Amino acid sequence: MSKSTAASNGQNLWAKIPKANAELFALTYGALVTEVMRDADGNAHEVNEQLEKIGYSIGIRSVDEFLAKSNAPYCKSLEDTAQVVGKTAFRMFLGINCDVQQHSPTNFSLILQENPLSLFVELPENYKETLQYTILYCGVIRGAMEMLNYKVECSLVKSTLRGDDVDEIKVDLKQVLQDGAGDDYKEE
Amino acid sequence: STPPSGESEEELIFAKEMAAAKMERMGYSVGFRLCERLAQNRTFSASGKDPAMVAAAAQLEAVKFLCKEVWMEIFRKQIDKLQTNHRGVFVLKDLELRWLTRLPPNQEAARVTAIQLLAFPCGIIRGTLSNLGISAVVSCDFLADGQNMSACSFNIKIK
Repeated sequence: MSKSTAASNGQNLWAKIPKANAELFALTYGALVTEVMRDADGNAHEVNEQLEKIGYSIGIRSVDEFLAKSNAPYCKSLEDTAQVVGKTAFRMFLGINCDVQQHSPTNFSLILQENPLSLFVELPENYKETLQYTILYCGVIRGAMEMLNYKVECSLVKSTLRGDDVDEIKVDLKQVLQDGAGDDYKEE
Repeated sequence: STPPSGESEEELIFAKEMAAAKMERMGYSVGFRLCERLAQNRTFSASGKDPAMVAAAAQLEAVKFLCKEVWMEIFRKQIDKLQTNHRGVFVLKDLELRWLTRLPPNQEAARVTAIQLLAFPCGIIRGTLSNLGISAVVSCDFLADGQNMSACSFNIKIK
Protein backbone atom coordinates (compact mmCIF):
# COMPACT_ATOMS: atom_id res chain seq x y z
CA MET A 1 0.00 0.00 0.00
CA SER A 2 1.49 3.32 -0.98
CA LYS A 3 2.34 5.66 1.83
CA SER A 4 0.12 8.47 0.63
CA THR A 5 -2.95 6.23 0.22
CA ALA A 6 -2.61 5.00 3.79
CA ALA A 7 -2.43 8.57 5.02
CA SER A 8 -5.35 9.87 2.98
CA ASN A 9 -7.41 6.83 3.95
CA GLY A 10 -6.69 7.65 7.56
CA GLN A 11 -7.72 11.25 7.09
CA ASN A 12 -11.04 10.30 5.50
CA LEU A 13 -11.82 7.80 8.24
CA TRP A 14 -11.00 10.35 10.93
CA ALA A 15 -13.40 12.81 9.31
CA LYS A 16 -16.27 10.31 9.36
CA ILE A 17 -15.82 8.69 12.77
CA PRO A 18 -17.82 10.04 15.75
CA LYS A 19 -15.57 11.84 18.18
CA ALA A 20 -15.29 12.34 21.92
CA ASN A 21 -13.95 15.19 23.99
CA ALA A 22 -10.14 14.92 24.04
CA GLU A 23 -9.89 16.30 27.57
CA LEU A 24 -12.41 13.73 28.81
CA PHE A 25 -10.31 11.02 27.14
CA ALA A 26 -7.07 12.15 28.72
CA LEU A 27 -8.59 12.74 32.16
CA THR A 28 -10.35 9.36 32.17
CA TYR A 29 -7.10 7.59 31.30
CA GLY A 30 -5.38 9.53 34.05
CA ALA A 31 -8.03 8.44 36.55
CA LEU A 32 -7.59 4.84 35.36
CA VAL A 33 -3.82 4.96 35.81
CA THR A 34 -4.31 6.38 39.30
CA GLU A 35 -6.61 3.48 40.22
CA VAL A 36 -4.20 0.90 38.81
CA MET A 37 -1.41 2.59 40.76
CA ARG A 38 -3.52 2.27 43.91
CA ASP A 39 -4.09 -1.43 43.29
CA ALA A 40 -0.41 -2.04 42.65
CA ASP A 41 0.66 -0.12 45.77
CA GLY A 42 2.87 2.17 43.74
CA ASN A 43 4.86 -0.56 42.02
CA ALA A 44 5.59 0.99 38.61
CA HIS A 45 6.50 -2.28 36.90
CA GLU A 46 3.22 -3.87 37.91
CA VAL A 47 1.34 -0.80 36.72
CA ASN A 48 3.12 -0.96 33.35
CA GLU A 49 2.14 -4.61 33.04
CA GLN A 50 -1.51 -3.91 33.89
CA LEU A 51 -1.76 -0.98 31.50
CA GLU A 52 -0.26 -3.09 28.72
CA LYS A 53 -2.83 -5.82 29.42
CA ILE A 54 -5.64 -3.27 29.31
CA GLY A 55 -4.24 -2.09 25.98
CA TYR A 56 -4.20 -5.70 24.76
CA SER A 57 -7.96 -6.10 25.48
CA ILE A 58 -8.62 -2.86 23.65
CA GLY A 59 -6.47 -3.92 20.70
CA ILE A 60 -8.10 -7.28 20.09
CA ARG A 61 -11.47 -5.52 19.78
CA SER A 62 -10.37 -2.36 17.98
CA VAL A 63 -8.93 -4.33 15.10
CA ASP A 64 -12.43 -5.63 14.24
CA GLU A 65 -13.81 -2.12 14.16
CA PHE A 66 -10.87 -0.97 12.09
CA LEU A 67 -11.23 -3.71 9.51
CA ALA A 68 -14.98 -3.17 9.31
CA LYS A 69 -14.73 0.57 8.79
CA SER A 70 -11.61 1.01 6.74
CA ASN A 71 -11.00 -0.22 3.26
CA ALA A 72 -7.42 -1.09 4.02
CA PRO A 73 -6.14 -3.30 1.22
CA TYR A 74 -4.45 -6.61 1.86
CA CYS A 75 -1.00 -6.11 3.38
CA LYS A 76 1.70 -8.13 1.64
CA SER A 77 4.47 -7.45 4.13
CA LEU A 78 5.19 -6.01 7.52
CA GLU A 79 6.13 -2.74 5.79
CA ASP A 80 2.58 -2.45 4.46
CA THR A 81 1.16 -3.31 7.88
CA ALA A 82 3.35 -0.68 9.51
CA GLN A 83 2.01 1.98 7.16
CA VAL A 84 -1.58 0.92 7.78
CA VAL A 85 -1.13 0.90 11.56
CA GLY A 86 0.73 4.17 11.72
CA LYS A 87 -0.96 6.20 9.02
CA THR A 88 -4.49 4.82 8.84
CA ALA A 89 -5.36 3.20 12.16
CA PHE A 90 -3.76 5.71 14.51
CA ARG A 91 -5.23 8.51 12.41
CA MET A 92 -8.69 6.96 12.47
CA PHE A 93 -8.87 6.31 16.20
CA LEU A 94 -6.81 9.15 17.63
CA GLY A 95 -6.70 11.78 14.92
CA ILE A 96 -2.91 11.99 15.11
CA ASN A 97 -0.25 11.78 12.43
CA CYS A 98 2.42 9.17 13.02
CA ASP A 99 5.76 8.84 11.33
CA VAL A 100 6.60 5.29 10.42
CA GLN A 101 10.24 4.23 10.47
CA GLN A 102 11.03 0.82 9.07
CA HIS A 103 14.24 -0.49 10.64
CA SER A 104 14.19 -3.95 9.09
CA PRO A 105 11.67 -6.37 7.56
CA THR A 106 10.68 -7.44 11.06
CA ASN A 107 10.99 -4.23 12.98
CA PHE A 108 9.45 -0.78 12.78
CA SER A 109 8.87 2.27 14.92
CA LEU A 110 5.95 4.65 15.22
CA ILE A 111 6.89 8.21 16.08
CA LEU A 112 4.09 10.22 17.65
CA GLN A 113 4.47 13.97 17.40
CA GLU A 114 1.48 14.48 19.66
CA ASN A 115 0.01 12.14 22.24
CA PRO A 116 -3.66 12.48 23.22
CA LEU A 117 -3.22 10.33 26.32
CA SER A 118 -0.61 12.56 27.89
CA LEU A 119 -2.57 15.80 27.70
CA PHE A 120 -2.23 17.67 31.02
CA VAL A 121 0.02 14.91 32.40
CA GLU A 122 3.10 15.48 34.50
CA LEU A 123 4.81 12.53 36.12
CA PRO A 124 6.31 12.90 39.58
CA GLU A 125 10.13 12.76 39.66
CA ASN A 126 10.30 9.33 41.20
CA TYR A 127 8.15 7.81 38.44
CA LYS A 128 9.55 9.64 35.42
CA GLU A 129 11.92 6.83 34.48
CA THR A 130 9.92 3.85 35.70
CA LEU A 131 6.26 4.49 34.87
CA GLN A 132 5.53 4.00 31.19
CA TYR A 133 2.35 6.01 31.17
CA THR A 134 1.39 5.51 27.53
CA ILE A 135 2.34 1.84 27.37
CA LEU A 136 -1.36 1.32 26.61
CA TYR A 137 -0.54 1.88 22.92
CA CYS A 138 1.93 -0.99 23.03
CA GLY A 139 -0.77 -3.33 24.31
CA VAL A 140 -3.24 -2.12 21.71
CA ILE A 141 -0.80 -2.80 18.88
CA ARG A 142 0.16 -6.19 20.32
CA GLY A 143 -3.49 -7.23 20.65
CA ALA A 144 -4.52 -5.99 17.23
CA MET A 145 -1.56 -7.66 15.51
CA GLU A 146 -2.16 -10.93 17.30
CA MET A 147 -5.67 -11.06 15.87
CA LEU A 148 -4.01 -10.76 12.47
CA ASN A 149 -1.65 -13.64 13.25
CA TYR A 150 1.39 -11.46 13.90
CA LYS A 151 2.99 -12.09 17.27
CA VAL A 152 4.82 -8.88 18.16
CA GLU A 153 6.60 -7.30 21.06
CA CYS A 154 6.04 -3.59 21.55
CA SER A 155 7.95 -1.22 23.70
CA LEU A 156 7.87 2.46 24.49
CA VAL A 157 11.38 3.66 23.69
CA LYS A 158 10.88 7.40 23.88
CA SER A 159 8.36 9.34 25.95
CA THR A 160 7.71 13.07 26.20
CA LEU A 161 6.70 12.51 29.83
CA ARG A 162 10.27 11.47 30.49
CA GLY A 163 11.77 14.47 28.76
CA ASP A 164 12.23 13.09 25.23
CA ASP A 165 11.09 15.25 22.34
CA VAL A 166 8.69 12.69 20.84
CA ASP A 167 6.98 9.43 21.75
CA GLU A 168 8.36 6.37 20.00
CA ILE A 169 6.82 2.90 19.97
CA LYS A 170 9.02 0.12 18.68
CA VAL A 171 7.29 -2.93 17.20
CA ASP A 172 9.25 -6.14 16.81
CA LEU A 173 7.81 -9.06 14.85
CA LYS A 174 8.52 -12.32 16.69
CA GLN A 175 6.45 -14.89 14.91
CA VAL A 176 3.85 -15.23 12.22
CA LEU A 177 1.21 -17.54 13.64
CA GLN A 178 -0.63 -20.16 11.62
CA ASP A 179 -4.41 -20.13 11.49
CA GLY A 180 -5.67 -23.02 13.52
CA ALA A 181 -9.14 -24.23 14.36
CA GLY A 182 -8.01 -26.18 17.38
CA ASP A 183 -7.68 -29.88 18.07
CA ASP A 184 -11.43 -30.49 18.15
CA TYR A 185 -11.75 -29.75 14.48
CA LYS A 186 -8.81 -31.74 13.19
CA GLU A 187 -9.80 -34.13 10.46
CA GLU A 188 -9.64 -37.79 11.29
CA SER B 1 -16.27 -12.46 34.94
CA THR B 2 -16.15 -15.70 36.89
CA PRO B 3 -15.53 -15.24 40.61
CA PRO B 4 -12.75 -17.42 42.03
CA SER B 5 -14.12 -20.47 43.83
CA GLY B 6 -14.07 -20.49 47.58
CA GLU B 7 -15.27 -16.92 47.98
CA SER B 8 -18.20 -16.41 50.25
CA GLU B 9 -21.27 -14.39 49.37
CA GLU B 10 -20.05 -11.50 51.53
CA GLU B 11 -16.67 -11.38 49.82
CA LEU B 12 -18.32 -11.26 46.41
CA ILE B 13 -20.62 -8.46 47.43
CA PHE B 14 -17.69 -6.64 49.01
CA ALA B 15 -15.66 -7.02 45.81
CA LYS B 16 -18.57 -5.62 43.79
CA GLU B 17 -18.90 -2.66 46.13
CA MET B 18 -15.15 -2.01 45.93
CA ALA B 19 -15.38 -2.05 42.13
CA ALA B 20 -18.30 0.39 42.18
CA ALA B 21 -16.37 2.65 44.57
CA LYS B 22 -13.41 2.58 42.18
CA MET B 23 -15.59 3.63 39.26
CA GLU B 24 -17.12 6.41 41.34
CA ARG B 25 -13.66 7.62 42.39
CA MET B 26 -12.51 7.73 38.79
CA GLY B 27 -15.64 9.64 37.83
CA TYR B 28 -15.05 12.10 40.68
CA SER B 29 -11.51 12.79 39.50
CA VAL B 30 -12.64 13.31 35.90
CA GLY B 31 -15.64 15.46 36.86
CA PHE B 32 -13.60 17.65 39.18
CA ARG B 33 -10.86 18.33 36.62
CA LEU B 34 -13.18 18.71 33.65
CA CYS B 35 -15.27 21.22 35.57
CA GLU B 36 -12.12 23.19 36.35
CA ARG B 37 -11.58 23.54 32.60
CA LEU B 38 -15.19 24.09 31.58
CA ALA B 39 -16.16 26.53 34.32
CA GLN B 40 -13.07 28.66 33.93
CA ASN B 41 -14.77 31.96 33.34
CA ARG B 42 -18.08 31.27 34.95
CA THR B 43 -19.44 32.29 38.29
CA PHE B 44 -22.49 30.77 39.89
CA SER B 45 -24.08 33.34 42.04
CA ALA B 46 -27.44 34.79 42.70
CA SER B 47 -28.58 37.90 44.43
CA GLY B 48 -31.40 38.45 46.83
CA LYS B 49 -32.37 39.24 50.38
CA ASP B 50 -32.80 35.85 51.95
CA PRO B 51 -29.45 33.98 52.28
CA ALA B 52 -31.11 30.56 52.09
CA MET B 53 -32.87 31.49 48.86
CA VAL B 54 -29.66 32.92 47.44
CA ALA B 55 -27.76 29.73 48.24
CA ALA B 56 -30.50 27.60 46.66
CA ALA B 57 -30.50 29.77 43.54
CA ALA B 58 -26.72 29.53 43.19
CA GLN B 59 -26.92 25.76 43.58
CA LEU B 60 -29.54 25.61 40.88
CA GLU B 61 -27.24 27.60 38.56
CA ALA B 62 -24.45 25.13 39.22
CA VAL B 63 -26.69 22.10 38.59
CA LYS B 64 -28.00 23.66 35.38
CA PHE B 65 -24.39 24.16 34.25
CA LEU B 66 -23.80 20.48 34.95
CA CYS B 67 -26.93 19.43 33.04
CA LYS B 68 -26.17 21.58 30.03
CA GLU B 69 -22.50 22.33 29.46
CA VAL B 70 -20.78 19.47 31.28
CA TRP B 71 -23.21 16.81 30.08
CA MET B 72 -22.90 18.16 26.53
CA GLU B 73 -19.11 17.88 26.59
CA ILE B 74 -19.17 14.33 27.87
CA PHE B 75 -22.32 12.80 26.38
CA ARG B 76 -22.96 15.11 23.39
CA LYS B 77 -26.42 15.95 24.70
CA GLN B 78 -28.03 17.70 27.65
CA ILE B 79 -29.85 16.16 30.56
CA ASP B 80 -33.45 15.56 29.44
CA LYS B 81 -35.30 16.42 32.63
CA LEU B 82 -34.30 18.31 35.76
CA GLN B 83 -36.47 18.31 38.85
CA THR B 84 -35.80 19.96 42.17
CA ASN B 85 -37.55 20.65 45.44
CA HIS B 86 -35.53 23.87 45.84
CA ARG B 87 -34.30 22.52 49.13
CA GLY B 88 -31.14 20.77 48.02
CA VAL B 89 -32.57 17.73 46.23
CA PHE B 90 -32.27 17.38 42.46
CA VAL B 91 -33.29 14.59 40.10
CA LEU B 92 -31.61 14.47 36.69
CA LYS B 93 -33.11 12.22 34.04
CA ASP B 94 -31.29 11.15 30.93
CA LEU B 95 -33.53 9.16 28.61
CA GLU B 96 -30.82 8.07 26.22
CA LEU B 97 -27.40 7.80 27.80
CA ARG B 98 -24.83 7.12 25.08
CA TRP B 99 -22.90 4.61 27.12
CA LEU B 100 -25.92 2.39 27.65
CA THR B 101 -27.37 2.28 24.14
CA ARG B 102 -25.63 -0.96 23.13
CA LEU B 103 -26.91 -3.02 26.04
CA PRO B 104 -29.02 -6.03 24.98
CA PRO B 105 -32.66 -5.44 25.86
CA ASN B 106 -34.55 -7.38 28.49
CA GLN B 107 -31.61 -9.09 30.17
CA GLU B 108 -30.91 -9.06 33.89
CA ALA B 109 -27.16 -9.18 33.32
CA ALA B 110 -27.44 -6.01 31.26
CA ARG B 111 -29.22 -4.30 34.17
CA VAL B 112 -26.41 -5.27 36.52
CA THR B 113 -23.79 -4.00 34.05
CA ALA B 114 -25.69 -0.74 33.62
CA ILE B 115 -25.68 -0.08 37.36
CA GLN B 116 -21.92 -0.74 37.43
CA LEU B 117 -21.39 1.65 34.51
CA LEU B 118 -23.55 4.37 36.06
CA ALA B 119 -21.18 4.68 39.03
CA PHE B 120 -18.83 6.63 36.76
CA PRO B 121 -21.31 9.40 35.82
CA CYS B 122 -22.34 9.57 39.49
CA GLY B 123 -18.75 10.36 40.28
CA ILE B 124 -18.60 12.93 37.49
CA ILE B 125 -21.60 14.71 38.98
CA ARG B 126 -20.14 14.62 42.50
CA GLY B 127 -16.76 15.85 41.20
CA THR B 128 -18.26 18.68 39.15
CA LEU B 129 -20.32 19.96 42.06
CA SER B 130 -17.37 19.61 44.40
CA ASN B 131 -15.27 21.80 42.13
CA LEU B 132 -18.03 24.41 42.33
CA GLY B 133 -17.93 24.28 46.10
CA ILE B 134 -21.01 22.13 46.55
CA SER B 135 -20.79 19.01 48.65
CA ALA B 136 -23.35 16.39 47.67
CA VAL B 137 -24.31 12.74 47.75
CA VAL B 138 -25.15 11.29 44.35
CA SER B 139 -26.98 8.06 43.59
CA CYS B 140 -28.38 6.64 40.39
CA ASP B 141 -31.30 4.62 39.13
CA PHE B 142 -31.60 2.56 36.03
CA LEU B 143 -34.92 3.43 34.42
CA ALA B 144 -34.91 0.99 31.54
CA ASP B 145 -38.23 -0.54 30.62
CA GLY B 146 -37.20 -3.61 28.69
CA GLN B 147 -36.77 -2.14 25.22
CA ASN B 148 -35.08 1.17 25.98
CA MET B 149 -32.02 0.22 28.01
CA SER B 150 -30.46 3.63 28.08
CA ALA B 151 -32.73 5.62 30.39
CA CYS B 152 -31.38 6.49 33.82
CA SER B 153 -31.72 9.05 36.58
CA PHE B 154 -29.30 10.63 39.01
CA ASN B 155 -30.33 11.85 42.47
CA ILE B 156 -28.36 14.66 44.01
CA LYS B 157 -28.72 15.48 47.71
CA ILE B 158 -26.79 18.54 48.73
CA LYS B 159 -25.24 18.19 52.16
